[in-house]
Order: sequence, then C-alpha cells, then structure tokens
Amino acid sequence: MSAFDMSKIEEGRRLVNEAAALGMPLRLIGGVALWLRAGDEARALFGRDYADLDFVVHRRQSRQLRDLLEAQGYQPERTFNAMHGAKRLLYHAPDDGFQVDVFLDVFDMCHRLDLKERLDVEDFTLPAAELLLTKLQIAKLNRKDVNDTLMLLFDHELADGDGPFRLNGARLDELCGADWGLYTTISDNLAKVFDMVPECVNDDVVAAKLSSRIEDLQSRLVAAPKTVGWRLRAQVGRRKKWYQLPEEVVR
Amino acid sequence: MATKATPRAEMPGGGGGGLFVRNSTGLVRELTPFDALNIVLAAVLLPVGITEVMGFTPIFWPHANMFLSFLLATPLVAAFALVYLYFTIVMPRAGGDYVWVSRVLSPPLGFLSNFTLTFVYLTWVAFNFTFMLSVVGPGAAYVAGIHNHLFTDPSRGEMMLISTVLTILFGGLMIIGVRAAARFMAVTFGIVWIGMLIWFVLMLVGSHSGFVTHWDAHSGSTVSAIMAQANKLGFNNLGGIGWLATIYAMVYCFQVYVGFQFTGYVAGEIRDVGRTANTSIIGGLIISAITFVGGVALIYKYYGFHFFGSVTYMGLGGGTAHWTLPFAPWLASLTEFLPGPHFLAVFIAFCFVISILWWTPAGFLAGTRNLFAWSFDGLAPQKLTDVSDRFHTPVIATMVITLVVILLNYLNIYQGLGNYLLNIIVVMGIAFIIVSLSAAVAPWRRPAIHADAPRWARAKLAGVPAITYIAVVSLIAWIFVIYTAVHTGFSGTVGPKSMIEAFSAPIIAIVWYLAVWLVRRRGGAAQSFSKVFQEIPPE
Repeated sequence: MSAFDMSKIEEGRRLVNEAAALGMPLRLIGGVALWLRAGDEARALFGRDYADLDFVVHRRQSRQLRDLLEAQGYQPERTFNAMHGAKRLLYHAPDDGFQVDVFLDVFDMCHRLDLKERLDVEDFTLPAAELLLTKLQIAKLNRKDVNDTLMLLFDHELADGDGPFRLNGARLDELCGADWGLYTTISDNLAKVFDMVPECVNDDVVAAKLSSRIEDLQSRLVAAPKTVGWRLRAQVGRRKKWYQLPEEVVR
Repeated sequence: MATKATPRAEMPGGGGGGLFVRNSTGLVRELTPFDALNIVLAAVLLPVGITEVMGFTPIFWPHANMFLSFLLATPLVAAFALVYLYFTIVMPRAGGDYVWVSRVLSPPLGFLSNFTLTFVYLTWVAFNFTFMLSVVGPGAAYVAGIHNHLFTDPSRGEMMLISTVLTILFGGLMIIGVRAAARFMAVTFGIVWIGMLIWFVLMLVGSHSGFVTHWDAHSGSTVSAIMAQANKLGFNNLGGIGWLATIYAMVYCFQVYVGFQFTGYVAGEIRDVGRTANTSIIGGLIISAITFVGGVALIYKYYGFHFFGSVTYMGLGGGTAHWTLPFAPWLASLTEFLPGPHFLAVFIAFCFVISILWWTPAGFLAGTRNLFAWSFDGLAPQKLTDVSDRFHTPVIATMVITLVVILLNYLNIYQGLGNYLLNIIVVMGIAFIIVSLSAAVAPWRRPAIHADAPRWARAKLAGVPAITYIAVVSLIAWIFVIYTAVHTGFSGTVGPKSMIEAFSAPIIAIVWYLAVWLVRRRGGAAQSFSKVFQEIPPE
C-alpha cells in the first residue's frame, strides 16, 4: 500500500468516526469507500490514488455535519452550498489539498438514487449494492469507474443481503426492476466493464472470476421482476433519453 | 440470459460506446430547459404586458399602431437579448448582470446596475399584485358576474392585506426550494397559456361585426355611441398611422419585452446553460414577439382599431368622467364580448389574474439570486447565503426579499409608487446601457472569457467582434427609450418627485457601495475587496 496516498483514506475514516460519536451516520461513497471495503488482494490490484472524499449523510443532519466539518477546519464553498445546499454540500480540506463532496439523502447524478434508508445498514460506507450503483449509473463511464467496479466485484459475492464482502442482489433487483433507465445504464456499463476485464486484469484466473461475477449479475438483473412502470418505459426504449448528464462545476 | 457474457447482444437495445474522460463528479442542476424558458415567459408576462400596452398607448399616442411598434422594436430588443445571451453563456453565474458588469467594466457600476434592476423587478412584483387587485381582478370579476367588493373594488387596506398574504405565501414557496417554485410555475404556465391560446383563437374566429352586435346587446352602450362620445370629447385616432407616435410607442414594447434576460440571474442553477440560454432567451423572445405582435393584430381585428382607442380613452383616459359602464375597459373585462361559450370568457379573464401568480416566483428568484451574488462578494452580509437547517435553502435571503416586497406593496398602495412605474424605465434603461457597454468592451477587457463565447459573438467585421456591434445597437436602443421617456413624458409624471423616486435605487446603490468600501478600507481589507472583483466567482 505504500504506493498509495493513505491520507485521504485515513481522513475519511476519521471523519466517519467523528460523526458517529455525534450520533450521525456519515457514510463514505466513491473510490475511498470501495478501498475500505476491499480485501488486500483487491487493494493491491485495483487501488489507486483518491482525489477527494465523497460522503452521504441524512439531509436532516446537514447542519450537524457542517458544524463538524467547519470545526475540523474544512472551508465551505459558500456559493455552491447556498445554491445547491438542499441536496449537496461542498467543502475544501484545511490545506485546500482536496475537496469533500457530501450528498444529502439522495445521490442525483445520471440517475437518482434515494439512499436515506441505507445509511444505517453498514459502518463506514454505504452497502456494496449502492456503491456499485453509484459507479455503474454513470452514463459516460471512465477508466477509473471501471477500475473501481472491478475492485468491488473482485471480493463481493452476489448475495441476498448486505454485509462485508456481500453484494445485495435483491436490492439491485428491486431498484433496477423499478427503473428502466437505471436498468439500461447499469446493463450497458456491465457490458463495458465485461469487455474491459482482459485489459484491466493480467491474471487469467482473476479475469475469469470477474467475468463470471459480471455474468451472474447480468443474468440476475435480466431475470429480476419488473414493475409496470418499467415495462411501459421499456416500450419507449432508447428513443427517449433515459439518463441525465451531470455538469462539471467551475470552482 | 445466456450463461456466457455477451452483454450488448443480451441487454435491451445493446450497450456500446467506449470510455469517457471526466474531471469531477459533477452536478445535476435544479432547473431544466423548460424551467428556464418558463421563467423567461413569466417575466415577459404577456397577459399583463399586452394589457398595459393596449391600455396606455391609445390614451397617450392615439395614432400609434402597436402592431407596427412591436414589429419595429423586436429587432432592437433582439440585440439586447443577444447581449444577455452572450454574457449568460460566457459567465453563467447567480446574479447575472451584477457579476458581468462588475468583472468586465467596474465593480461599483456592476452593483449600481444590478441593484437598480433588482429594485425594478421587486417593484414589478408589488406593482403586479396591485394591478391584479385593481385592474385584472375586477375585470375578471365583471366577466364572471362576481359582485363582492373584495373582487370588484377592494379598499387600500384590503389590497395591502391580500398583497402581504400573497407575498408571504410566495416567500414560503421559495423557502421550500427552487424545484417547488419551478413546479408551481409549470402548473400556472399551463393554465395561463391555455387561456391565452383560447383567447387568440376566439378573437381570430370572431368577426368585428359579431363583436359590435355582442357589445351593443350586452355592454349597456353601443360601439358607435362610444366612438362618437370619445370623438366629441376630443379623441381622434382616425386618419391613418401616426409614424412618429408608432416609433415613440416602441418604448412600451421595450418595457414589456424585458424579462427574457432573467435566465442570466439563475444561470448557475440551469442545466446545460450554454444550450438552455439559447432556447430560453432567443426562444423566449421569439415566442414573446409572436404572441405580442399576433395578440395586438387580433385585438385590432376583433375590437377594431378605432373603437379600441375610443373605448380606452373613454374608460381609462380623458373620457372617464363620462364613462358610465360597470367595468373599466381593460382587456380582461373585454373578454366578456368574445364569441363562444361564456365560461371560456370567464376562464380567459381569470387567466389574466393567474398570470400574475405565475410570474411572481420569477421576480423572487431574480431578487434572491442577486442578493446571493452581492453576499458572495462581500457587498451584503454573509448571513444571507446561510442555508437553513430545516429547509436547506437560503431562508434569510428569501425573507429579506419578502420584506422588501411587502415594503414596496405599501409604497405602491399607499404612496402611489405605481404611478411612477413608467419613469422607472429610465433607470432601468440606464442599467441596461451599462450592461450593453460591458458587452461592447468585453472582448478587450476580458479576452479569456470572450474566447469562450459562441462563434456568432466572436465573428469579426473590420477587426471588431460582432458582440461589440450588437451591444452598441442595444445601447442606442436604450438611449432611445430614455429619450422617449424624458422627452415625451409619456407617463405624464416626469417631474422632480417622480425622478427622485425612480433614481432613489441607484443613489442607494452608490451610498451602499461606498459604505462597504469605506468599512473595508477602515478594516484594512480594501485590497482584498477589490481583488474579489478580478476573479470570476465559482458556480
């Protein structure tokens, strides 16, 4: 792990602990969360430097979190927080070395994921299912997203519940079976990640394991029950755009 | 699903596409392209705009043909629209023209122009409440057969009470969040535009002779009697188009077209602002132009140019002492004499009322966003941008705007601020001249920003960028507006008192800016204060 900058990982964990001491379920998402959930082998294979910290917290605890971050020397991005503070907060680390992005209850990017019921499920991070969705809901997947997805799939087995090294397939079924757009983006991205496996992994055994997990996941999503809304939207298909494209913010 | 992963073939519609490059996680902004267009159309506010234009011009310029006035004014207004489009694309920030002028021309001028415009917009919010209660509301009540005095002739105390309640309710809506406001505006947009379209269709299919029959049978007077009496009292709009009057009357077109620039104030919250600004500003202008020109043409066609001037003169102008009919001849009341089922007339008349509720959140949005921008730069207390723990929106800023609107309601209802509204066009014109000037010099003052401008703005003629030519046209157009307002005195109240009242906003802005600057200077922070304006604020 010496190749990695551990400072953000440690800082992320520290902030979650500080929040927990105040009774606030602050949960990591993004690359740092995936690293924390991963085993040593996955970390060695897919670990990377992490540019910033991403969190989710209850919207009702926004003030508590703001007070905590500001007490720790984090500088609020006032303009951004005033304009978008109902769903997002942005802070800069005391040395301005990185930024902290906070989602309040909802993760609203290419697709919208309601996370408020999932904050208390596990310590430190969101459950693996939601972490996977936050990566695979990205309409314009990049290399880092593929890498992070493979890291999660490397040592998370498809299961019917949450927990360490468990990927809650039932939860994925439920969300993707209710939202055709989300299902479509996730499916497309699983296909892309599948195609990228040989490029990202040199070891044939590891590649086979990852490919197999992707296949299992794809099969499960295809077989999962679909809602009436899903079926109706499916009739329209790709003729109508099914995702939104987040914009990069100039800071 | 097959056991072997051949995903693109298996998944619905296939996958495909390679990988992308992304620098940050990004943000999905709150306001959709439709919301942006809706804000613009609400700010232009066709029902109130056309009511004012058609209610005022026949009195002051009887020979003005507003159909032609709108046609002539539209290209000039388009130049002004392009100025706002240019800035909205190159600097999409909350506060719009405040940020642009302060970063391109001069911080005090930026504050002066934006403070003035904010005052104008909030005055419109207050004025429109009064207009609703005293003009379009009674008109709708007449058409609907409602005789309760709260609807037909509310006292000043009642108007103040209703305006205050409405102001507080809209403040509450803004506190709930910008999405809630956008949803409210979407619903009212639908109602108002259905009403306006029905109104247009009825005037289109109805004939003038049908109107005459309808009026003669139900108004309590006859068309010929109204025209004869107006003529007897000195009103005359016969003898063809008065071209000078038509040109001067463009001043009303400028006044009612203003609104498409509202995209600039909320640009930081609009999705894909580069593309959305095109559709909302230019699309908004085109829709406004079509509806204003088409609306005026249909009014002249259905009611008749001569009669419309005469009835306006009798009911709203010099003939009011002789007006005996139970309604004032504003457009909302005149819907009573449209063809078709009566309930449609009632619906259209109430759409004039609802339109004011439709517009109000747009006024609040511009006000709060401008306040944010001042606060971000240290020209207003930081507290204004504090996000409420309960609502997660900037409650203090919204409450400040609510209180200012309540004060303006009072000034409007009890102190006659509305009488000077047309003089406010002078200060508004000065602010827009400053914005136009900023756009004209932006290629030289901020070349890095200009480099990101759309191709049409960067295109050069004789070495000068197109935006400079466009901005100069816009600037000249607003000089014309000021000249007309002062030279012709079309509002009838150009005097020291009205001008002092109108210019109080820029004067307050100058005093405000100097006070902040002096406080900063005394605190040793004058340098950091001026440095703020060298940077483009974050989104």
